Amino acid sequence: MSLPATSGISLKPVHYRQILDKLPATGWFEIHPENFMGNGGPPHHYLHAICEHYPLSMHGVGMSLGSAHGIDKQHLQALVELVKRYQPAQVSEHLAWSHYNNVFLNDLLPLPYHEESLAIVSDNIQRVQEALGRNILIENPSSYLDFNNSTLSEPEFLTELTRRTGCGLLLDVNNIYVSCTNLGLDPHYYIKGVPLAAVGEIHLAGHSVQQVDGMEIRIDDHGSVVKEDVWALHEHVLQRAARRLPVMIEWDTDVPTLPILLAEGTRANDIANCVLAPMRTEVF
Amino acid sequence: MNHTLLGTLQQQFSDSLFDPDNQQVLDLIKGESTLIKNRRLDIHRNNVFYSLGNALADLYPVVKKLTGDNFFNATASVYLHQNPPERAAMVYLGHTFPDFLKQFEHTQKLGWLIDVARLELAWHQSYHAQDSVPLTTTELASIPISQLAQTRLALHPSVRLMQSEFPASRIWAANQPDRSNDDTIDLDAGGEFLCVCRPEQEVMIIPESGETFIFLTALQQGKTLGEAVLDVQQINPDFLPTEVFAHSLAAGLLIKPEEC
Repeated sequence: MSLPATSGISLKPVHYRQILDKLPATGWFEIHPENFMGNGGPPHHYLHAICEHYPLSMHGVGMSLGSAHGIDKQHLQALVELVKRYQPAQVSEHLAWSHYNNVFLNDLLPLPYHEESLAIVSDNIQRVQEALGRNILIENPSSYLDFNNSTLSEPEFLTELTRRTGCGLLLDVNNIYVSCTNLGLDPHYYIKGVPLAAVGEIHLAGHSVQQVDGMEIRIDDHGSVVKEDVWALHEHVLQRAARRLPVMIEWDTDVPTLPILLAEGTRANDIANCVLAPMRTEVF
Repeated sequence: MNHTLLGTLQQQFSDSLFDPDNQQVLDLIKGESTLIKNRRLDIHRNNVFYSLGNALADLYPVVKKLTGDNFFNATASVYLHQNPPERAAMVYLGHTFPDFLKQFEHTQKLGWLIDVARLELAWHQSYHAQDSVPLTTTELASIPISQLAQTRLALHPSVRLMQSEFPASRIWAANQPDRSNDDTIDLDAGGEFLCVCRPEQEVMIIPESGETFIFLTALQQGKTLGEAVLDVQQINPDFLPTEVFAHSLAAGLLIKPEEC
């Protein structure tokens, strides 16, 4: 089972009832499994009902694959149980850390890229994949800073993770744009370095622009429509990948009405139809 | 402690999130000046405490409304610095917040506020509790009368019992988003015995009589129906459980004994 190679959207509690009433045309839904780690209640009630109609992707934000002290057992067990319960078409996580010394920091914190961190992250990914009995996708982060002792570029690091663990990649095109702008890198050069054959899903989202002491910083806040420059970069990725991919529209703050979210998904499908016209297949 | 390069970086990074004056990690970050490096790090400092503060405010919206944004945010910041979450699932965040308010110097004397926080936590726990099918009248009637006194009935997993010296549920109700805020509540209007429950999808807050509250508390402690009746008879020798049974069944507060 894999996700359909068309667009999907974030599943938000404010839309639960409307989705079940109208069964809108979207290929699939994505959730953060952390939001369903309570025992019961309306979150599970609605998720079960929505899963009767749509494929599901679980996109974790709390596994902390970059933690030097390894994976949190309790969190891994909670994910294992959710995956067993809902049988999602796909499971993904971030290249980041958020757990240190038994404290969960609730942010996707940046990693240095060197041999030691590569070994640690690879071990952690393998541990999760073994527990789940399936391979997962790893998402490139949005970065606001980088470290002096990195010896590998992010695309090199991601490439090596796929080689060592068999994981796939979740390419967040907005994150590439945000990170490259914030760190003075070329997003096209970044994309050249990514093994596109390993990409199993694309993320698109809005970001905001802030001026900080004369420095322009782009913040990956998932609170608006996808920016035009990011759509253009997405088109470039599809041209290079030369195949349809599941494309996810993320929107987590200031969640809009369902039609606005669906319209972003439609735009992603239109771009795929346009860029990949010679390879047109039936749209889900 | 983890003696890897990465472990050291994570320790220093984490320290600088909690204490911006701790600048050890700056040496590891690329950048032309300390100011610029700090501004970049500030994005993560803000993300961490802003997102955790929002998650806490989602759990305690009435406490936030009653205290105002500035007071709530400052209180949340102290609480979260002292009690950062251990788990990634935000459903488990902030369960010690009412206890914190009880000892925090700016709130320790506000008993009504602490009880509203307790009620919001009970609501949250009830909302996310394990689902279970409530006991029906037919099922209860199937228990032979001769065995009734020895029977142990469990409360529905979503039930939370709470006693307040204040009109906590009236304060809560008056501060819901769909209510205009012009109700006047007398803090000395008397206390409440509350039962919070979610037999299906909707959480309910039910003010109970003292007798019902004692009865339900006895069941929650695992006592038999006979023992529960005796507990209530200590304050009312004439108590008969007929009405409590009818109410508990109608409200879906009980489940089948085998699901205990």
